[in-house]
Amino acid sequence: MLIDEVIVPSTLSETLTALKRNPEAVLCAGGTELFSEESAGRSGPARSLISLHSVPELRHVSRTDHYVEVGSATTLSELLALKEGFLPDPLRDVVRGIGTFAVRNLATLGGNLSCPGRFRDCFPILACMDALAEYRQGTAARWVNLNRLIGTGGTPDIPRGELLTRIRIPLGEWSLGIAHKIGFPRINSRSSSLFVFLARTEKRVLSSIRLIFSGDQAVRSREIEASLVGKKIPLSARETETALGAFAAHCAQAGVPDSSATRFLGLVRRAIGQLNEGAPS
Amino acid sequence: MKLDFILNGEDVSCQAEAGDRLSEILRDRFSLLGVKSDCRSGHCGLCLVSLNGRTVPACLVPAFRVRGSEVITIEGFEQTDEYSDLREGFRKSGAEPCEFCRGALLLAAASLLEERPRPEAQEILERLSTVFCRCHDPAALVRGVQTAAELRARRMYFRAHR
Ligand SMILES: Cc1cc2nc3c(=O)[nH]c(=O)nc-3n(C[C@H](O)[C@H](O)[C@H](O)COP(=O)(O)OP(=O)(O)OC[C@H]3O[C@@H](n4cnc5c(N)ncnc54)[C@H](O)[C@@H]3O)c2cc1C
Ligand code: FES
Ligand code: FES
Repeated sequence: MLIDEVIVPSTLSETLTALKRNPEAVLCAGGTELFSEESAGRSGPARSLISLHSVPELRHVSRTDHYVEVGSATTLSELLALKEGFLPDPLRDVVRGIGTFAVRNLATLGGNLSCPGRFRDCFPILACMDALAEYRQGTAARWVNLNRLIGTGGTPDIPRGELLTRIRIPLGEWSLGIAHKIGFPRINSRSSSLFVFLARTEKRVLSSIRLIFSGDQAVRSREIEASLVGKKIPLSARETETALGAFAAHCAQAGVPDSSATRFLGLVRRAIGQLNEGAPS
Repeated sequence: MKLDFILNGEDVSCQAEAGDRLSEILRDRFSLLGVKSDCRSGHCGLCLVSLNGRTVPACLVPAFRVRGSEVITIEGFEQTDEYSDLREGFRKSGAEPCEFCRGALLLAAASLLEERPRPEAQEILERLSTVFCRCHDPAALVRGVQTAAELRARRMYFRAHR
């Protein structure tokens, strides 16, 4: 990327003013995506760049009884340095699997959720948790459920010209949390994907289930999830096959390539197996 | 743009394009060749430096982020007691990294000891795997860092009781 001007605001309001004046400017948080070799070619028109690394409001982390709120420019290392139990465990596990410690020292949560082109690893876990993202532009602010970033065809629909300021992550225990990465670990790969499965059971009844398979596109069906809620654990063989059939049909409808769909269904089957195994007999 | 920053303890200044990488600046303008520049994409870990106390791949740090910051390369780290502990630990364990990986491995190990004075083997392997070296016996690296941890703890003890 050719840069003709760099703006380094030191407050949130300066950042929003800079963005308002330069709506086409590139926002740079950790820069690990923007400056990695593949994306950093020196071609194309020179762009203005707004760096977020000196804005303390964007690094603020707080917690209530119900949710954790994380400033978008908080680095992944800063998230891992929070004391045990501060963040939901499945999210911690996903963050720990991203890049190397040195990359995580630069990379931010907001950057991870804003990479265009493909969903990065924090997206599926946070979408499953129904996390909210606050976007700001000028004086306007709006909260968006992360699932709304899944555009037509399941590809990312990242808001443009808006600043992602905070991510609100609901708290709550999950009886089972699985995050399975497909592809080489730690690599900034264009072909890796992540499968996330979260389930909550109460008195051997499934009270909540969320699952996403994401990479180039995200696959999630709230209808199928809803159809499983209220079922007794362990799920019967018939219930499992019905759910898998419904997921297969959903993948076909969403245009998921056969190889990915087969993988996804295999992972769903395995996750249901784990859920059943964990059920007290 | 003009960059003023602290490099290995000294105030320095240079001209750079906003998008120049810190790894290039250190090698080309300051001849700090201990900072290797290989993949330029954050993968190989050979360009590690400390930026404001955090170990980062210098190839992913654009020039504009260097302004007003403090950078330590392997050349600066070599002047510290922590370096002596690690060099001695590696020597005793028979883990002698090649010239290409040495700086990055030592900086990665040092960052771990800073966070975890008595690291477990798994933590050491995880941390050192940041550097793309495929030649070493992992057990020797673990022994090297653990020996350095003991040397460091002893040194701290004597310093506190002097
Ligand atoms: C060696 C290496 C390994 C990696 N491994 C993984 C991995 O295992 N898993 C994974 O998920 N990713 C991986 N990545 C990809 C990526 O770098 C990270 O996901 C990182 O979190 C991106 O964050 P950043 O702050 O560096 O983003 P940046 O590079 O600063 O920005 C990325 C994008 O987000 C936009 N942006 C940033 N902040 C905001 C904001 N607040 N509001 C609006 N837009 C914004 C930018 O304009 C840009 O388009 C890897 C990268 C490298 C270099
Ligand atoms: S050259 Fe920086 S990580 Fe490879
Ligand atoms: S020490 Fe250099 S390749 Fe292993």
